[in-house]
Amino acid sequence: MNSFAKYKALRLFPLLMVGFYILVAFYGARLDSRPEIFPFFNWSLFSSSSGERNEYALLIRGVQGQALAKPQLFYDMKDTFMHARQRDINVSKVTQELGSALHQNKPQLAYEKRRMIEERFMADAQEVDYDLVMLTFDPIERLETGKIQNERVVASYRKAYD
Amino acid sequence: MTKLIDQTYRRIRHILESANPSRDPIFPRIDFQFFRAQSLVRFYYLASMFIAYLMMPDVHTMVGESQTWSFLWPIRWLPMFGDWAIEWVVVGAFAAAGLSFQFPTVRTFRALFALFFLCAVGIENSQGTMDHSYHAWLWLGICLVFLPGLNSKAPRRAGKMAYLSVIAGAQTLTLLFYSFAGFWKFFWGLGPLLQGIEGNFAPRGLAQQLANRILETGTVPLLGHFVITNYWLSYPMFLVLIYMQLVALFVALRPRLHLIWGYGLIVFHMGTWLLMEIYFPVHVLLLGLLFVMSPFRPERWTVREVLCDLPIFGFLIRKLWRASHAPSSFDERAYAAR
Repeated sequence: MNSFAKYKALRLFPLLMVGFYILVAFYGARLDSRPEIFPFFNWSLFSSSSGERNEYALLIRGVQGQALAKPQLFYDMKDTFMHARQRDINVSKVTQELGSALHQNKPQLAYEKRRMIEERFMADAQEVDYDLVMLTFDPIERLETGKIQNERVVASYRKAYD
Repeated sequence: MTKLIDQTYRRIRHILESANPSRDPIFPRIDFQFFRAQSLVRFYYLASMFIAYLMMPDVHTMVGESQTWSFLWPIRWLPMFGDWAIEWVVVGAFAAAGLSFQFPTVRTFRALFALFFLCAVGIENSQGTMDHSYHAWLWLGICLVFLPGLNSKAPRRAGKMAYLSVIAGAQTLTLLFYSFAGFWKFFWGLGPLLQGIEGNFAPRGLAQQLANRILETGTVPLLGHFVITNYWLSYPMFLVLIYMQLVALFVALRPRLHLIWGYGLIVFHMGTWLLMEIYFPVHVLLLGLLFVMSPFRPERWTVREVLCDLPIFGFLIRKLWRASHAPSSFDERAYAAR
């Protein structure tokens, strides 16, 4: 191929690359149970803000067979879980993905996410009773006062002993 | 068919590119752009060596700690060879980056790097969650595989233009990522705006976002609480950010804006750290390399030309400029200049 023929072909490179990427990033994920096909991504990061936020969270009810006096959110249990101490954002990410998988009725994906939560993020405790809850809150208000408007249990789990 | 492709290509270019053509002379321009592009490619592989080197201890720790891999498709085969293979993939990426740095014209080395780096990034993301820190860097590596082989030490002009087309493709793809991010912010902001409820376009839009992030992670970003309290300061910044991201794709063929968008988006990543403790160091490098050091940045430019190139606003500025400089009923200078 001579230089000019190469140029004639490659001048379309930006167009083809962008077209191909858009196609896979937007439509490829529909063919798979996962939200994105690596390494394609639709770059929706922190896209929406709202005064009424709905977020999935892990509410711990008991550890090592002992019921807690008051159920606590995973991130508040710094003495029990290393990933809570580290404020590991991946816990929140996987929790949202678990909730989303249940909502979309994708049991295999939900199983994978639950396994990840129990084996990795809850690795410090052998037995954990917990709920996946949907919290509704105003972020600024909750940050200032701690107020959560609504708490709905989506699913209840027990680590390793189901 | 070729005619149709040509026409489509020209139309898209016409929509995207600047209304004011570059004032740098065309042939010397191609030469210096080509020279800069070659330097960019070498620097990319040097930086890739550095990135792969930084990944090594990270992956080593992951291999030591984790029993809960959820391998992504490029590396599903890895467990067959045991844990040692996981770490050697990153070493492979380092070696391939080194070879590509030393021999940037050898496509095999560039392809090897793209392949190893794909697997290395796959490893980093095989813990059940996706972190997008390396995606854009990987895509640049994939684009550079397509660089044409140039036969001689003094390549022909068409060869240089083919080479530059690939760099333009990498820039366009990177800007597309930012346009995606801007599109979603715009899209999810539009509904609440029309319904009259608080969303991205509300004065507290960014503050709500920051508060949620702080609640989620319990981190204490340097300026997080300050910006939540003084949300009138962050409001215009957030609107400018949405604009910069949304129209980023249009900047691809407007080289006079490359420097501004490069620095602008670097400042955005600095902001994500100061306000949310979200860290994208590789993107800072990528933006500096592709846009601040853009091979296409012009030698000759004026502030007016830059302003006129701004997507959306440039059109208005051009109109205003023309209106304010329109000849009066009898303009002697315009008459003389005919």
